[in-house]
Amino acid sequence: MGRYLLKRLWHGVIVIFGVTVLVFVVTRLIGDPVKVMLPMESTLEQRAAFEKQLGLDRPIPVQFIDFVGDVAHLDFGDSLWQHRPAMEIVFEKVPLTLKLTAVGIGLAFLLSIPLGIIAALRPGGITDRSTVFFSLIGFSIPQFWLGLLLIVILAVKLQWLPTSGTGTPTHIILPAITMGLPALARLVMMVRSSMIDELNQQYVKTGYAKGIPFWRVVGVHAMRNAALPVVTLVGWEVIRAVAGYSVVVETVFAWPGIGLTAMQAIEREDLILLQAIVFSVGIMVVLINILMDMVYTVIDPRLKLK
Amino acid sequence: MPSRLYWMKMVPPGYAENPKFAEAPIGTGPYRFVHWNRGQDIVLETNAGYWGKKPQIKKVTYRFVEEPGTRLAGLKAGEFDLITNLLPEFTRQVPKAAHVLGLEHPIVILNADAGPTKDVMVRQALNYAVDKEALAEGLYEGFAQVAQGQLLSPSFFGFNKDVGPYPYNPKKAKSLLKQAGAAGATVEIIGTSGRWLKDREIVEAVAGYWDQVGIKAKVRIFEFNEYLNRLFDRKTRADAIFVVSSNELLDADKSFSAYYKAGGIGSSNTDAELAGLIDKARTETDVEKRTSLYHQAVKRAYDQAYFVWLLNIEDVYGMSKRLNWSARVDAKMLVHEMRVAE
Repeated sequence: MGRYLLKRLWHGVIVIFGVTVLVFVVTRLIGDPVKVMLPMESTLEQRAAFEKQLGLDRPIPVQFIDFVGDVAHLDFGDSLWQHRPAMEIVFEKVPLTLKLTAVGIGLAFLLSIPLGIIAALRPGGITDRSTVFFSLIGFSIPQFWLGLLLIVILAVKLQWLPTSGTGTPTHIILPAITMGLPALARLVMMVRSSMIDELNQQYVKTGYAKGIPFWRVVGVHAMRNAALPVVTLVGWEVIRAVAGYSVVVETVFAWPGIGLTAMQAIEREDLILLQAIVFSVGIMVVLINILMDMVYTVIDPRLKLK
Repeated sequence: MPSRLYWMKMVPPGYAENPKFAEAPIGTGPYRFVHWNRGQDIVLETNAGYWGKKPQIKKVTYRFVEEPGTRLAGLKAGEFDLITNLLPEFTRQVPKAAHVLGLEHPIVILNADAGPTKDVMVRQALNYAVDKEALAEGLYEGFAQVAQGQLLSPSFFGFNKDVGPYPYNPKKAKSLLKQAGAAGATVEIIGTSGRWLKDREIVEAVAGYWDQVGIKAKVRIFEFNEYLNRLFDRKTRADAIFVVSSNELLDADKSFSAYYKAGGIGSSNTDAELAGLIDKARTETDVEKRTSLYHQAVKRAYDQAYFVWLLNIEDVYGMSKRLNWSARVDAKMLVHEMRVAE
């Protein structure tokens, strides 16, 4: 187990390094923060002075070498926008995104199991067909639109919930639904198809024949075998939520997590904060992947290590 | 009643900086900072030690909400009392709206030195071709005023009231083009998308009007950074490039130096006389003389049609029923000027 973990961590480090290099190169190639940060009518002299102040006038290789050394200390420099260490901002915002993801994807996962199983028990039946129908709608809806729709109906018209922001436990409900609904739909489809495959297997019939209660055959034995693809999908959903959908959901709901912060950093051409964010998200993705691998070995002992 | 805390939430859009916070010294103003989460919210409370008249509103929270739909929802749900940058199409849905002529002037800068726009008749034609009133109605639901042939609002220093907009006259535009031998010429117009309200739409509309008088208008919309490269490119000037100029100082110097004056960061002409007027005006201390210099500069640029002047956009705010407030031309939102009905 130890050797495997080390190997995975090493791969992870390579991935993170590659991502950081990419961000460094790309943001310098297409962006010029000086132009965007200064007022439109600033003179050329003012711009040159500002560029020098930020150290952006040095040759790219020099900037990069300095950069690598700093990253090793988790020092990305001070955010151009907030004038404080970029990593400090990241540490502040990441927990909020993780909270939203945990609630949204967590609920999606928990609900998908019973819904998927029920659909799988009678494939082609009414329950199954309507489950599939609503799932298709669920993951086809753009989250942006879904979020605004929920706000209009539940927060504005019915006034049951707040429209945006944080503060009370009720504030997380709408963003979590927006985050989780498409994931729930995809997970239900996966649970369903996985379970259908399992329930057709010989061992299931054998189980019934042996007199094992229905719920044990389905809920324990079949479920265990069906779990692998589902768990893979859950890992994927978590990663997509943190590293992707959080930007949309957090912007719509003004939820101050890392997704919204990334959006704001992009708008302000804050290279420094952007790099810190991408780097941190890269680390999270790698860690989540490693976690998923460890979960697999628990579910299916045969996978325990080469 | 004075002891009751009046909760008021205001919502500037994420991309706008609120300049007055840097200006207002903490401790001597009517309000003091309670906390500031960057990009998230700011809370102010009345400053007990303030020497002046106590403001009616005791506590105010500014919340930054990027998404216009969510801002509107918050206002309608009663969570916010004031929202900024209200989209014109939302004005029908809010309990109350406030609007005031703002600082933003969309304008198209024409290349006076090269290309099809070199000829002053062509530039004038490009002005006559555009129906500015239709733009104000169609794109801004009427929350915009037609620019008076200058990059200044009536309240700005240097405004020349003897200059008015080029009227909408497509026939005259066509005849001018024919005279100049430019009927069917291709004019490239550059813009950006998402930086200013309706920036892309205005460019497309203007191009459409130009098409109607026989110009082949080529629209190129760039991402903001690339667009800025072209706007500030001193070597090659675009035939036509769109910009929204915002002038917080309410004085002609800053925007004229940038766009009217030859060699200015965004200007597309080499008119030495015009540049001379602007330079002189910058250092002239006699108010009357200075005003006259700007009037001359405005008239000259107008006659030479160095720009297609379009609109002055109004700032539109959404308000709750209980809020009493008049919007300011300088776009500041001063809480001590606001009142909340009981």
